[in-house]
Amino acid sequence: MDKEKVVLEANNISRTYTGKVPVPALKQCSMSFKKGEFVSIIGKSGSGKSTLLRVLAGLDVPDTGEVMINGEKIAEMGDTKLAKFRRNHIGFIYQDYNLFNEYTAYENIILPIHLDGRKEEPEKIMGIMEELGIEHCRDKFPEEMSGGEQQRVSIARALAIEPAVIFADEPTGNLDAESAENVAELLREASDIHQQTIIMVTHDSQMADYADWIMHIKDGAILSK
Amino acid sequence: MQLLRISRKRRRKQIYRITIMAFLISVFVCASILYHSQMSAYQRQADYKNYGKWFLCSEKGGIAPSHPYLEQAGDAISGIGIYDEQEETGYYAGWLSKDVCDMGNIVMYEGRMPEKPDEIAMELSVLERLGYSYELGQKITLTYGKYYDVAKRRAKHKSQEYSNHTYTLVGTIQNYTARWSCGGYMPNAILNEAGIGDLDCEYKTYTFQSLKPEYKNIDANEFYNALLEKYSSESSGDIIMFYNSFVYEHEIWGSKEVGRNILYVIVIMGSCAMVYLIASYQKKRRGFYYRLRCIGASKWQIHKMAVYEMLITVLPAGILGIILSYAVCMGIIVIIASTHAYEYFFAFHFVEFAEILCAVFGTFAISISISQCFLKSNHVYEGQISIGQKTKRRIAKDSQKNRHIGIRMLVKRKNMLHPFQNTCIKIVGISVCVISFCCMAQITHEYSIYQIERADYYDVSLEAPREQKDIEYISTNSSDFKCSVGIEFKTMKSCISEKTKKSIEQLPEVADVFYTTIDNSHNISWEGKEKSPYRGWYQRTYMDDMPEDKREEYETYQLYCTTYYHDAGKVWADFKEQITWEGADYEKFLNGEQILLCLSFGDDSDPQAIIASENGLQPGKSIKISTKNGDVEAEIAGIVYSNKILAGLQYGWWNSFCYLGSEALGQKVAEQDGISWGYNEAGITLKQNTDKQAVAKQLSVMAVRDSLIFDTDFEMLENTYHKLVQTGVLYGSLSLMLIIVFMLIRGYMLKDLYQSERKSYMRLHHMGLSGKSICRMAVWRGIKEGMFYLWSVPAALCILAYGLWRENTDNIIMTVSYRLGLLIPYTTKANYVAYEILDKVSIGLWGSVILLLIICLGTLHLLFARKCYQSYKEEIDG
Repeated sequence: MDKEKVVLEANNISRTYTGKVPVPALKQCSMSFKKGEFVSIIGKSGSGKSTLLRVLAGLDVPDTGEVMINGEKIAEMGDTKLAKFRRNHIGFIYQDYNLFNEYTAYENIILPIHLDGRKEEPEKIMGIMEELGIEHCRDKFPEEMSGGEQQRVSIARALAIEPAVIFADEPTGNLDAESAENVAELLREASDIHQQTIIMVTHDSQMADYADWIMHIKDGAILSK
Repeated sequence: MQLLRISRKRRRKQIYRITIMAFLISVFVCASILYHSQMSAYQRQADYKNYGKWFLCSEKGGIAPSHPYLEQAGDAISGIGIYDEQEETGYYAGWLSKDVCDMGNIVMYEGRMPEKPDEIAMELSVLERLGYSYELGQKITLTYGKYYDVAKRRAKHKSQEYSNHTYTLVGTIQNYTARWSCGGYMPNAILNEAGIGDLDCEYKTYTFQSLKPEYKNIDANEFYNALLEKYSSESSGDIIMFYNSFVYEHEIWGSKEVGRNILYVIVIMGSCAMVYLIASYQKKRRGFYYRLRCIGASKWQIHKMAVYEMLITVLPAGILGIILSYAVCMGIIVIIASTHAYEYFFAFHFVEFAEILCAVFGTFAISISISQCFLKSNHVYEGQISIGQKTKRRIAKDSQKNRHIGIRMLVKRKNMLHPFQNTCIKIVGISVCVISFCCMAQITHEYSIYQIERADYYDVSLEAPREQKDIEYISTNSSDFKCSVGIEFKTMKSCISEKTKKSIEQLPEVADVFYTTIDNSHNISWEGKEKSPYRGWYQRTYMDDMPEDKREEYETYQLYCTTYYHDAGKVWADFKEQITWEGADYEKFLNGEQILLCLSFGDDSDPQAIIASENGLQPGKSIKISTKNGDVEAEIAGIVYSNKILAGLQYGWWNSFCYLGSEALGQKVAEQDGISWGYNEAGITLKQNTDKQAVAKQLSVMAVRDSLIFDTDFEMLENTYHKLVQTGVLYGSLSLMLIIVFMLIRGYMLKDLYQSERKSYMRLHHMGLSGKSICRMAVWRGIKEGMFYLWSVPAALCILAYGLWRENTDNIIMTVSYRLGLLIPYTTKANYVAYEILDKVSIGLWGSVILLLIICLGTLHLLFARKCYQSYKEEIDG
């Protein structure tokens, strides 16, 4: 595989939240991410990090500019195609894990595969769980697990679909220092071993250090890469 | 879908709750429609029992209508006039076929129908009129007239020929003729068919027809009018044809239109509750769908999943609800039919079933569609649950207007945050409020009729016979013209004996006896009597040609009357509102020093002006009752005009100047006259759950023994009482059902609401708000919600009245009447129908419904707020 290949590219993307007073969240941002890269986006609260992540992941639509993943323009895809594309190419890890309380850890992990109409390979899923050290949580419900375990289940869910890009929105925000480090290391491994592009939003500079490079964002504009 | 099923399994509690609520709502909608139609069927059965199952009664020999909808039901013979000596009684003798007896549900109190020509069964009323007791086996001598048709008889220049025939009384029957619409033509004394042949007289034969079972729900009035029109054109003479309008015109809610509108309101209420339920459930599930969206689910997948989940949740509940409603309805009807001896009256109507399916599943479909709009909202896909723009604008406006931030404001803002839910709740609440009000209006209307009848009539009345006198005089207009005027009057001389009085009081079934002495044999005088405008008019009109000495005698009997009451306290209390004079004193009234004057001049124009016109008869002035040994004087304590006392009070007699006094005054008059004091009337009220006919029978024996006039009204009073109970059960249960369902739905909604607002309460608690304040806030919220419905009753009734007014365009000239406190002419049917609805807006009733809602809602809010707060506290303590 060509490590220099650009997986994700964004050109001049802007996003303004409309309301009584319009709030510009992103201003003419351009960037590209290569295969297997681990990138941290850091900035203060309200700087536009999460908006950028959502726009890049296709969860939000930019007012101007375009986002391309693996050469395909997200804006040109319909909702169903975009959803399928995200199911196959994008993994998302959230600060509050976004796990389904009524499903066990195993079921939470296989859910995206089922949404795609495929059947999971149990050995492979168990392999990922073992790799992340959560094999003992197989039949546990989210509320029966610690924060670190829940976040690892969330990572496992993102990894299970073998995505090209994994977006992580402050994945260590709710975790203690030890768990946070574990998660960061896991993401690093995913990038190194599975050649997956990791884009992580954080405001913790210590976590950001795990990345190959760091992108600073302030008031919706990219300051440095 | 497999994962969805797993998810549903794990959320069993939540799914059960929504399934139960969907089930309850479908039961409610289905049961309401069924209840409404079965209410009519139940009413019909009760009416059958009271007024007979026949549809058409027509004179046989004339044109007996034949129509494919009708079937023969039986024959009757009537028209043999019964006379009391030579006085027409208005009662008839005749014969009823067994079919008519069965179909008419003619109840025999005792004995049997006549089987031999010399046997007779009679209604209680005719026995009372002829002065017989109810005892079976006694000989009854019946005087009957030969000719039925007065016009034909007169044309032949023949006078009525009277004959007597003696029968043995073998049965007493309920006064069915007083209830049937053709009752005035039916026989009150029933003879054997052979017995009729023995009589040498004319009679009429009537034939009864009933509707074939498959046509029982047609528009009977329209059908009857069509029949009448058809046979009127074919017949040359008069048509005697009666339609059982008491049964077939009896509509629940008074009219079909009102009934239909009420049904619509109920269905809308159920639909709104369902929409709220499903929409709020979907709203709760937005987080789940958002997460799915985050891991790559498309909008289509989410919609599919949501619809599938709702369908498998509510559809079985809906189907089960419909099946159960039908089953329960059928079961209840089996119980009602067996306990009331009705035939099983449940009927399955396909159209009604289709309506139920449409209402229940249509509601589900609408609710699911609306709930999809919640999922369409960008909030789900963007993961933000924020306040909508419109709501934001409303809150901002409110914020600019109100500067004081307190608990009330918080409640207001919280309500503003849920505009959709609030709209649904309000529609449901308004529906409950309006229908409960209408139900209560029906019950109170029936209760007021019962109260009026109860006050107007006694179960049994005993009366000493009236005296009769002829005043003979030579007309002043012509010296050789002798005139004679027959007078009927009451005196203290003819009274109920002490022995009879004691016997009545000793009967354990007697609840109360109201004794009265009516006397119109004493002349009354007062200062300025000669100037009395009414007396002057009366003399000019009726005593114009009477010599002076006879005038006074005639006036005594015809113009004045004094009534003395044993229960003076009741009289004083009943007229309390009319007694405005400062000097009026109950003690003086009781001692016979004061009296009440009741004027009745037959002129309704302005009672106050009429009272004022009688200058000599004003409160504080004295009247004198002339007796053999001087006058008895009494002071007028108060004056009432008869119009004011018509509503249910049984005071006075038919004379124009009627004085109401106590027993003490009567005793003074009797003493002065040198006669012994006694009562000449007794109104007997019997205990509710007694065999009234049996007690009346004992009293009838006493009455015959003492030559007293005997009259019973217990059948009519019982009939009205049963109607009241029936109305209470029908409308009361509907209202109760609605309130219970409303409370269940509202409870479910509030549980959700307070759960969702738990965080707000936590924050408030952290800010120092006590648990008591949170509870107070909840109660205030309930009160405010209840108060909102204040406007709904008059507004909804106005809309209903307007709708009816628009629908009824027939120009029917009707009468004038007091409505809404105004004298309103009903020139059109529309006016009549519309005003009838508006007239129901009674402040007391309206207030009661709102108060009930406020109490229920306040309690519900308090319960759930406390529960929410306690669970939060337990969490903290834990």
